[in-house]
Amino acid sequence: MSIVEFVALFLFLVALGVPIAFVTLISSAVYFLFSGNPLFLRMLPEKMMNGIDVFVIMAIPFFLLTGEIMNRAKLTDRLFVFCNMLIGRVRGGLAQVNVLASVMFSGVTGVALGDVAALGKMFIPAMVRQGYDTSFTAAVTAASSLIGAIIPPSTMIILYCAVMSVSVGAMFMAAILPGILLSVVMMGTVQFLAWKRRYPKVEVEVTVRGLGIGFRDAFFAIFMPIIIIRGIIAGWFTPTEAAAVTVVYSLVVSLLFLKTLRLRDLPSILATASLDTARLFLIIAGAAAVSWVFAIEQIPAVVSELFADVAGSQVTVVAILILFFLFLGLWLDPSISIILFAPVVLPLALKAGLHPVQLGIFIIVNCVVGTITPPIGNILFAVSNIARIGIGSLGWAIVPFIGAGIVVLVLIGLWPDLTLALPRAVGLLR
Amino acid sequence: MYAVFRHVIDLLDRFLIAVCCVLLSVMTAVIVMLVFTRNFMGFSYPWSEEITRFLMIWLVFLGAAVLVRRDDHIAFDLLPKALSGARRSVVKLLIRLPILAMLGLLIQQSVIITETRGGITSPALGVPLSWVYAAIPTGAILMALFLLFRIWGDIRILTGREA
Repeated sequence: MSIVEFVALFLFLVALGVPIAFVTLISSAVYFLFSGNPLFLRMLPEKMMNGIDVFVIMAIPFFLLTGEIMNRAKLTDRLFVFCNMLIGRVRGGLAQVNVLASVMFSGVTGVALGDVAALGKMFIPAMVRQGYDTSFTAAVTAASSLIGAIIPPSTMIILYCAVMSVSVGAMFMAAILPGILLSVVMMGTVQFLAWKRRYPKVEVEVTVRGLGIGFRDAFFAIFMPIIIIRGIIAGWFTPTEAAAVTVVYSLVVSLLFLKTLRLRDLPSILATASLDTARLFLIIAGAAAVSWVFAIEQIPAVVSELFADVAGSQVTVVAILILFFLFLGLWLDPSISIILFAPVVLPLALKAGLHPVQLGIFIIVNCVVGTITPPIGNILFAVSNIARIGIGSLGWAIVPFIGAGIVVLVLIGLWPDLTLALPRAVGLLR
Repeated sequence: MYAVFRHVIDLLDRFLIAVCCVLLSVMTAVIVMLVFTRNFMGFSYPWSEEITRFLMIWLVFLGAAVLVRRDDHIAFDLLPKALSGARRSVVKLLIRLPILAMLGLLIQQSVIITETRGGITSPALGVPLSWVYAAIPTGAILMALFLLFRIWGDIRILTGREA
């Protein structure tokens, strides 16, 4: 079976609607079956096991559990109220609250797609009530959910580290400035549109007591990524251990301080986190099988050769990578794009002068921007379902945010200090 | 007949999800204890990493089976969502049959691998690695079982026994 037939089968199965984990497993099984060597089939379970039997990615179930605990503890509602008191009364205030609360919440959760449902159900009706148009509302919600993908703790970062053998501490540090930049650029875009379109300005009741509670809740949210990063750098714990510690932290915060969680909620939280883990890890297992197919076909070498002429030009390589991962992000889960294609583009990126850590942040942001890109990005679909609007009008409304995302991407790709300065400053990178 | 099977499948679903919850709780407890004892009591137990990894592997394959039962794996499902009634069931069958075939291959191959790992023991815990590898055939068999039940449901819709 040639690689072209393999890709054709893969694409056909995806388009048919076969779950992505099974697409990877079926197409690699077929490849092994027709490889002429029946023993190759044994690689299917073998590679699946190798793909998930990695200590670093064990941080992911714990981060998923933490995110679910904080979600059920209604931390998002609290952050919403707090951010609304802080910035609700500027023009387009509620849209800004949407972005800011997502940024704060992303410090306790590791995924982008997961929160979009929870946040969207709260923000979209609230914004529509204040007179924002639904398409803008949905676009802001989708765009602000991206920030969660890189602000630590981030499942995508952990996955990248597992695939590329990069230090998690360095990647977490590297993600901070781009995460802040992405938030600032998103808020800037919102503000610009709010002034231009005269979005509503409303009075918000601010009480001292309310602000006090708000500061405390926001502190709980912001403190968590700080302990994680501090602890990893100081060697108190490994990333996996840090993740398990955050589970305890989130339980203590939500049971004792927020008091919005009850012990009897725990079984259903554990069930949701278990299924989220299984959903992601079966994809990781399947992608590991496909990456072995890629290794047999020597795809990284083929790609390097294909782009040998442009490899010297950083601008060209960054442009090619942006288009490529944007395209992948449209229809593939970011986790698959990372596992399969990060190793493939590594030689090309290194030749163009990108650092592996910089490349990681670049690819992750790139894939998640792909997920909000019309016509088929999957976050776009999730949000259009929640907001009950057509993908067409949402597709137009989201264009400014995609533009903002691409600006950040170009900066990450061409300005190494944006990602590398912080990890270097604390001695995690040379 | 279908109703009886449905009841059994639902019981199995609930049992598996309960097992997953226990696995995830134990994983968390083991690692939290490790951080605690190492930082505050000055000792660590060497088997913690291994046991957590092994439990996670079981969690993944059992959880993946539950997701098959609930039709909740991530898919790019524009095509099935655009259709309804019998057409949708036909597409669902076209999606499920290749998965079933792949699971058949996976069960066969993973049983062989599990058998060959019986003689090797893990360095820290000293358990045979076949105990870990057995998660794959177990998960694959459960996935196939749930998938067969789903296919039965599709066929009932196609033959007009269920709307």
